[in-house]
Amino acid sequence: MTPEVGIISNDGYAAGGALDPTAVQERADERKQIELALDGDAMAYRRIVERHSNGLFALTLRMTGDRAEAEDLVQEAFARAFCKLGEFDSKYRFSTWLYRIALNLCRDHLKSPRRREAPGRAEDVDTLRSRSVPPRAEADLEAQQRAQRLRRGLGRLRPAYREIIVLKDLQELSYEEIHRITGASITALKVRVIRARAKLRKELEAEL
Amino acid sequence: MSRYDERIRRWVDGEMSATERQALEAEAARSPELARRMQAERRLFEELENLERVETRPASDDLVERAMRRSIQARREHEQRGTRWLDWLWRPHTLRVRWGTLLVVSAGAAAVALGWIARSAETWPSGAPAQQARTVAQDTPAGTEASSARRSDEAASEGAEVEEGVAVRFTLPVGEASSVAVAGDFNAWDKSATLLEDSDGDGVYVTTLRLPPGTYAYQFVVDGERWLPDPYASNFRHDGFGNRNSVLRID
Repeated sequence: MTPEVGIISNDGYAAGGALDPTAVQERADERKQIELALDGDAMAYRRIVERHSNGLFALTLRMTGDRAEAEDLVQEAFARAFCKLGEFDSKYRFSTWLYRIALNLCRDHLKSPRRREAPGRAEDVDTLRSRSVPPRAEADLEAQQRAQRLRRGLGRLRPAYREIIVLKDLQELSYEEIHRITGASITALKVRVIRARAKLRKELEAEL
Repeated sequence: MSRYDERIRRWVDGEMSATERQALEAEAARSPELARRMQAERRLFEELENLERVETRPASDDLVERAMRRSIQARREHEQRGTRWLDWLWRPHTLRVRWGTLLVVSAGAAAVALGWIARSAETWPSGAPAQQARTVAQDTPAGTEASSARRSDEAASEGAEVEEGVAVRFTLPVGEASSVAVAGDFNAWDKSATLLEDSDGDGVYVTTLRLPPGTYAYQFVVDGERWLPDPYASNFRHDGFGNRNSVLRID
């Protein structure tokens, strides 16, 4: 493990790292849209929402396991971001800031007693077949059952472990990006992911 | 945590070079435990990939529309609460200045400040000797983190006491334990002198010590009696009594 020494400058821009020109242009466009949105241009904010809604939905779905809850959290995250747009520091990526808002909402939501159902609720074959999704072949049904088992296992992890699995192993973010979103040190994140994966493996073994 | 944990994590996260991967796979061919661990990790990622495939249906077509409606409504309510001026305050603005005006104002402010300093000089406290910020040698064990000491001239201007040494953080992920301590050359191997804490209950125990430059042997002590070398240390030393101590060097 590479030891951390001193303060790490995690942002590529601050450290003067080389960047893809396309990415630089996209960020410049996004900064402009944010400026317009701050001045009340709803169309500019819509373009921001369109750009980030799929990624944000993927995050909230992976955290909650429920599509309706995930979509609700996405809407709430964008609403909060629109109200707090003035606090965004354009030195960092907008997606990082948005993910942090969404993650905080997910944490609060998962702690709330008002949740409609726990993630990864066990479903029998008849329930799976009765969904609005059309009946599937046996292999697809098995895939759904495996996904349900993993979803239940994820649901039983403590929040910090679930987060690191979602952000690192499902969203495939770098440790630096996860550090910027969560504030946890990279060393702690690497230790946490080892423990989270071990715990998730144990949960899956218990399901079988 | 086992001795393979960190290496397997690096393998999974794609942090290994081709040479390291080949070495790990060669070792797995000789070690059933390592082979089992790698196979278990592969199975876990197969399940994660399966979850991805099953849950790839996109969001509802009208999610963007609903998000916009809620955002506009929230923004309206936010503005009605009269907090818009706070947003203006926190929003970064582009400042345009006339350099001539800026120079004149700066010169005036400097003259006022110098006059204040001259009047106050006899009441200043004496400062401590300046101290160079230190950095830690790159072979610092991975279970510890070190940061540069705060520069003592800043502390002197505040009249504060200067702390000697470099801050070193000791980390041990051990899960459940009644106590975790670190003992070594820096505390006379007293296993009750320096306790680590797990303040967020995630099984990772942490403490920070300030240490002057030097080389220190140390071990962790779990539950008051189980001695563990630092699992992430890259430097070790045998103590002549059959024990393997971790070694930390601070320049």
